[in-house]
Amino acid sequence: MLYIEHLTKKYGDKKAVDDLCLHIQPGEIYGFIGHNGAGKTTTLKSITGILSFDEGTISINGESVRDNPLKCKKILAYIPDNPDLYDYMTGIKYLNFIADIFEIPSDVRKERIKKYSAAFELTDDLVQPISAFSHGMKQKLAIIAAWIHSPKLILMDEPFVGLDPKASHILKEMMHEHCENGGAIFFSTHVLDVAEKLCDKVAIIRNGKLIRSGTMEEVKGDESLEEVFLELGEREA
Amino acid sequence: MLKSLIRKQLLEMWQGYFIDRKTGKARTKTGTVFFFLLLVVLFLGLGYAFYSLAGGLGGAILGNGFNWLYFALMGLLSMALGVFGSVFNTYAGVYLPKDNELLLSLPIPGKMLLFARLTGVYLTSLMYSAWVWIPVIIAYWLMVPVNVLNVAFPVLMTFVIALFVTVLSCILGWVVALIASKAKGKSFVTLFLSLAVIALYYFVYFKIVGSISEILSHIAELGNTVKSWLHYSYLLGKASDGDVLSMLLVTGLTLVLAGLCFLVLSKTFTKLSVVSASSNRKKKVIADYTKKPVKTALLNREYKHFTSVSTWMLNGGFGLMLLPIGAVVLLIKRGAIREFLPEIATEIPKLYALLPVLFPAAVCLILSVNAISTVAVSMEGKTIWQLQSLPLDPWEILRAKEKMSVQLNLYPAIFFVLVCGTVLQFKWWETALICVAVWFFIWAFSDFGLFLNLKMPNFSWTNVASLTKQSMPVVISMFGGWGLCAAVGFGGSFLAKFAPVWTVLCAYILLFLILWLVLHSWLKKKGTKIFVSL
Repeated sequence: MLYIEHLTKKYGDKKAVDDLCLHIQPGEIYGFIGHNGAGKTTTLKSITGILSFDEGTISINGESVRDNPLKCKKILAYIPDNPDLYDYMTGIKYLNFIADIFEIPSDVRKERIKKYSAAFELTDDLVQPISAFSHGMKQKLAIIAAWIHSPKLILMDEPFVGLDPKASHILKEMMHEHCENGGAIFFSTHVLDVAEKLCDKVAIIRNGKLIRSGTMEEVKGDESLEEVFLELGEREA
Repeated sequence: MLKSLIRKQLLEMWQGYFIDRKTGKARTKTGTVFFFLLLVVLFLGLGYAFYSLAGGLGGAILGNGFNWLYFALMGLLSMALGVFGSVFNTYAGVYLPKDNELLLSLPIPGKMLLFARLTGVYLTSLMYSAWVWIPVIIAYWLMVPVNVLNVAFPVLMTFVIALFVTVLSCILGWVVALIASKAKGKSFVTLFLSLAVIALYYFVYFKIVGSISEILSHIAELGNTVKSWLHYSYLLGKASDGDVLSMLLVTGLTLVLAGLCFLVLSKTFTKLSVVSASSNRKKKVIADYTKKPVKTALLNREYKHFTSVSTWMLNGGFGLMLLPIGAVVLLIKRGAIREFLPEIATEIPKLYALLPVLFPAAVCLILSVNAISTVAVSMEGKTIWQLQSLPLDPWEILRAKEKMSVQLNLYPAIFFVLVCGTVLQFKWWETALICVAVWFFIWAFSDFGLFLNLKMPNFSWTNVASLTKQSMPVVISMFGGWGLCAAVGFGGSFLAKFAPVWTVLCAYILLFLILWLVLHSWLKKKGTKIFVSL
């Protein structure tokens, strides 16, 4: 599904991501963990096509992000860490706009919007302007927008920040459902407990370099993910 | 603390001229020098127009014991321009900046933050009112014998006038904020109130300019009227002429007014700032799930964005409002104009013959005030990630921005041309050719705006007024447009000496078409790449 080969992204002379290689298969929930400034967001933005990269290749479903960005974007969805959405739209107008871009038929979008907004208890708020939404509500709206076109690959940057416990639980269920249907999810998080329970595979990044990746068992062994993360951090430092 | 806040306020206002927002590095010396040259040309150009006006009035009034009246009348004009310059931005600049909530959460007294915000309003007021007032002072010094008092006091009065203008602007900004905190369509409330002020401004301006001949013949009568009805202006005039007591009185009165205004504003500042930031909620509406084509969805999004930002509508679409209003006025006055036309034809036949050649340049000059596409990219702000992450061809995104600018400009402009063509009795083919020329100009100008914005984007703005009013792309597009129109007008007049009118109009069409094609091609090839990399 997602192949990242020798990805390098520089900001000036500093390498934000350094020779990163990752492969994500359909049906996998892949966690991406690292300290602040490790290069997680840069990697996610490079996959999405928001940021250009200096070296390496990224391909989604066999299509190169660099050569065919539109084809790749059609099958992925991205939720940033701080969802700055269009304040001048209402929630429903925003969802309709995203659905228009992905050319989702009226009946399908209606069904999906109803389903997900009901799950997140956002139905009544959809007619309000986004400027009146709280951070958590914006996060829920961004999640619904991401799911509206049934993407094959979902990229999320700290998706649980700002969500209440119930919404977090619903999101986890949606992630499982998505992967059971053959989709894949790649997301960054600082919440190691969540990553440990939710992810099939995990990658740990430090100073732009991948320091460990694989299935949860391969990465943590008998220890907890937190212990491994801290231990690896100390060793690398 | 106050010093830091004011420094931050000034940085927001002026940083864009010295720092490249994209790289965060200082602009090149050439760029900075170019900008300041532009400012000097602009200041001198319009300043000269005010100097001529002041010279005409002063020649008749000064030295007849009515020096104060000269300053009183020109002071009113200076205040009108000052209010015009700052009034649009006071509401946005004081109550809507994105960092209001952040700053209010810090241990900063609300009054101090308000004071820092008002410093920005004061400087804008000073800039605009001084534009009129300084030429007025220069004209005065050249016409009367000077002494210490009448040299120093008019200069000091520049700052007093700016303070008075600040008070007027703040009152309007406060009223807009109060109404907007309770109204649903905030952007339209702001638009409506601001337009009312513009109407008032033009009323005052044209009254003064139109009454100059009357003023000259009834000075004493007018002087009495000003004394009795506009006592503040009388004091301002006397003070500027070197009267110490009046200077003390007018300065004291302005300071008291400013103090009272600050006191009133500070009572509600925190509340109104927070209300503005969070906005009120709407009641239920029926959701519409109709599927729209991608192009329509993008265009609708642009319109929604434009109509939700009153500052953008006012600063970017000001010319759009002038054109239909002008057309209606012309229609109403068409009888008088048609009576007047034969007089021009016999008295100044050369000018009459040039009317169809000069008219398109004048229409384009008005259209150059509009900065719709010029800020359309920067207006995306922090939501730019959204367009970049969606499966959208960047060309489609730019096309939507271009299309909105063209559509908004085109209909009022064509309406204006058709009305003027009828009233001024152009031949049908002249009107048709002018329509085509204006149409191509609009395409070229819209693309020019996008070109500038892609070259000088700014996504980190905290105050939308800094983008729509003070940003480099806006300054360049407006004055660049004016420069082009002036060149077209002069060039066309020159060409008309040797060639028939239709040739000149065709030359305009060709020029604008070439400009449009060049800019369009640049946007498609390079502009799209820049947009992706933003």
